[in-house]
Amino acid sequence: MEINEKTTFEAWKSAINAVMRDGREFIDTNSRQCKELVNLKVEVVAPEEDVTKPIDFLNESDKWVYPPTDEIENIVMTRRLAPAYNYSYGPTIFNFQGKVNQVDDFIIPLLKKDPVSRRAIISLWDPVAYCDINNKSVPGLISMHFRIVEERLNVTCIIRSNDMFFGWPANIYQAYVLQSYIAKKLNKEAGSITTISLSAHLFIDQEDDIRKVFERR
Amino acid sequence: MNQIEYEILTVFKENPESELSTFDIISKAFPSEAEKIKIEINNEYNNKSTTSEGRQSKGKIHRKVLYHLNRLVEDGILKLSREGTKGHKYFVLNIKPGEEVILEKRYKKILLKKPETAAIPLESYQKEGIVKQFEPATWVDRLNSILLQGWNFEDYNNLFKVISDSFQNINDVVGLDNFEMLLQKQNPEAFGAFIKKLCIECDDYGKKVNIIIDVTHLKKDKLPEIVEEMKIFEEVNPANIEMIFDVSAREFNQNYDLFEQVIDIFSRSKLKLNIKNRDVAETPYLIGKAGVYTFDEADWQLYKKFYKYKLKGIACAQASIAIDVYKYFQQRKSAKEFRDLLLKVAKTLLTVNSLQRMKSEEYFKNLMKLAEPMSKEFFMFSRNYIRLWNYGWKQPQSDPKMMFEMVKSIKEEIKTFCDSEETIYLSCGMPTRFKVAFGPAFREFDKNFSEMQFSRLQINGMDDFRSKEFKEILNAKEELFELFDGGDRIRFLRTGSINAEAIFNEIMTIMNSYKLAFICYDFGSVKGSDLKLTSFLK
Repeated sequence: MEINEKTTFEAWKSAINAVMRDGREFIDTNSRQCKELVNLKVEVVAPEEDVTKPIDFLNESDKWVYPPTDEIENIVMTRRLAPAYNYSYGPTIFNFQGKVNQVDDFIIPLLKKDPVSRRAIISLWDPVAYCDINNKSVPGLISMHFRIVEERLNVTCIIRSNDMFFGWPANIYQAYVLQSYIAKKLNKEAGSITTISLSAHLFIDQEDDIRKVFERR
Repeated sequence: MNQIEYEILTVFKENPESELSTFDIISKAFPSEAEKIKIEINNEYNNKSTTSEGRQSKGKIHRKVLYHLNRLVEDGILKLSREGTKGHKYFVLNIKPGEEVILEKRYKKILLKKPETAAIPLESYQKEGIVKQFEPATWVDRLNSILLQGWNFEDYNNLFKVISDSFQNINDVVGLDNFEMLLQKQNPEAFGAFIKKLCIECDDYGKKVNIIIDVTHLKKDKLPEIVEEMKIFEEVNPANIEMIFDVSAREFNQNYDLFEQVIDIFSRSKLKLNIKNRDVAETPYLIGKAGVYTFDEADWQLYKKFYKYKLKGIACAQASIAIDVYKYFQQRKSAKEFRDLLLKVAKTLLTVNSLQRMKSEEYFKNLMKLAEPMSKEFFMFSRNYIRLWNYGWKQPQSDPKMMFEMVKSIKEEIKTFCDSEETIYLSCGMPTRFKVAFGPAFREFDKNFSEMQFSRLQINGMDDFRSKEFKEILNAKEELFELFDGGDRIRFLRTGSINAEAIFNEIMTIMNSYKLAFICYDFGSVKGSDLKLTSFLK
């Protein structure tokens, strides 16, 4: 299924509605009842207009505390592993296995040299660390693909397991932050963000909360 | 700008949110001088004149630095935040969170900036004295307590350095687990020197250290030596070092000779004898200024199975907030609002944890170095604390059962909140740990708590155990131990005549008859070893 919206908030809302309407029900490995759409593609054409709006919406509830945007940004941009997290994206992106800075030493020089390149891929899945059947603490965001189209830097993110209500707003913001960083270095505008959620899911016990959040609009 | 002032301000530039004592500032600004003085004073092989010179140098550098600190206070750049024990002064940057200041004087320029601190949505409660942060100036950038493993250290010098370094990153207590491994490996004289040095260090930094002895590992042929070593506590009488015996009832019974002598030593020195009953709880217990600390039992089993021999130390507690329950119900009355308050406190702790996570490498530098290469695992077992003061136990005109039931249900709600937050963070690609434990607060947590409404538990002898009231009190305490998953302690003020065999039997009775994980026999009120019961009237 594909969703294409101009703004982040509309894309989020459409994705949630799609999962609630068409998702198949199943029980996950943590015994939670879920609704899931497989391989859901969501394209946000102009994320810069309201990329934090879903986060702002989630922040309005006093039932939970959503991570602050600086912490969400930190996770993807900090190059050293903050010890209080089981894993974080930043070190994998900027210092993969202590050997490769995938952004500054690859993506940016590659797209500078060859703006139409289709090789600008960041990998966040480390088989050495994560191919262990007992290890459940593995990243959801597993790769990002950057392409320059009509002078705009677009990004496509592959997310293997995506909680569309709580997780997607943070993921889109993380993608936007990294996209903006690279776009600035390339002297390009930040373009669209597309997420392909291999498992786009919601939890049945979230349905009331979801309804309350959208009723406020 | 004077060079010394520049060095002082550089320390604050690197630690903008910290409250630093004169001693802290000297250690950071003039590390080689500080190290030299430490060696001169603490090295047991020095002669008297070297030690005396060291003390003089210490005094001299303190006076010099204090002079410049006072000038910076006069200039409005620093602020004297408080005076600690023994007149130690503590300083903070005198700029608001989020503010930035450039100081320029005679070709030297320094930029000072204080980052935003964790906003605490509990202002009205704080103003009324109902809610209190533990050590407000350092409650974000320091952990409350950590546990170090004794067998990871080769000798006392090595351990002392680690403790001293970790004092800069914690604001309450360092626990030394399995200390018996080091105790039985090193020579007895070295233990005495270590305790003396540690005493001074604890006083200088205003921190506590707990020495935990697992009786299982004590070798029979070493026991006489160990008893001799304990006598250092009589000599030094440390205010900030506590010894905790980790023992099962059976082991306690089997080691009568050891404990009879330990009771003698501790009662003579008017110290507290702390016993952690391993039949009731396997996890270690720590005693800090804020209260008692411990780990979750399931977490502890995981730690023992996979990490015990790999990690030099682990974080025990991150941040603590206390509620003065008596004051709350005096001023506000509503049970529903009390429930909402506790949830707000949990949310505040989450915010603090967020800051600590983002800046863990900056705030806890020494601890991260200690934990390498497993710094991620360092935080795997830590919790935050909600502590209660004057919550109803042994308080006349209060209904402890009502309070117990209310706190029990709030605890469940907070556990659900913590689990949900972990799930939210996980779904955002930020898998982390957020746990909150409940415990009672000690008086030392905050000097402005409401006046103690509960009576202390005095025990004069075995007869007390037979009284109905005494049994009810202990049974109630058992329930509180269940409620306070962050750890609790039952403290008996031992009065009356002191007879080691009688006290041994009392402790044996408690261990065999009650599910109380942490027992303290406080000999502090004993005026002499042969005072009669009638000398003490409530």
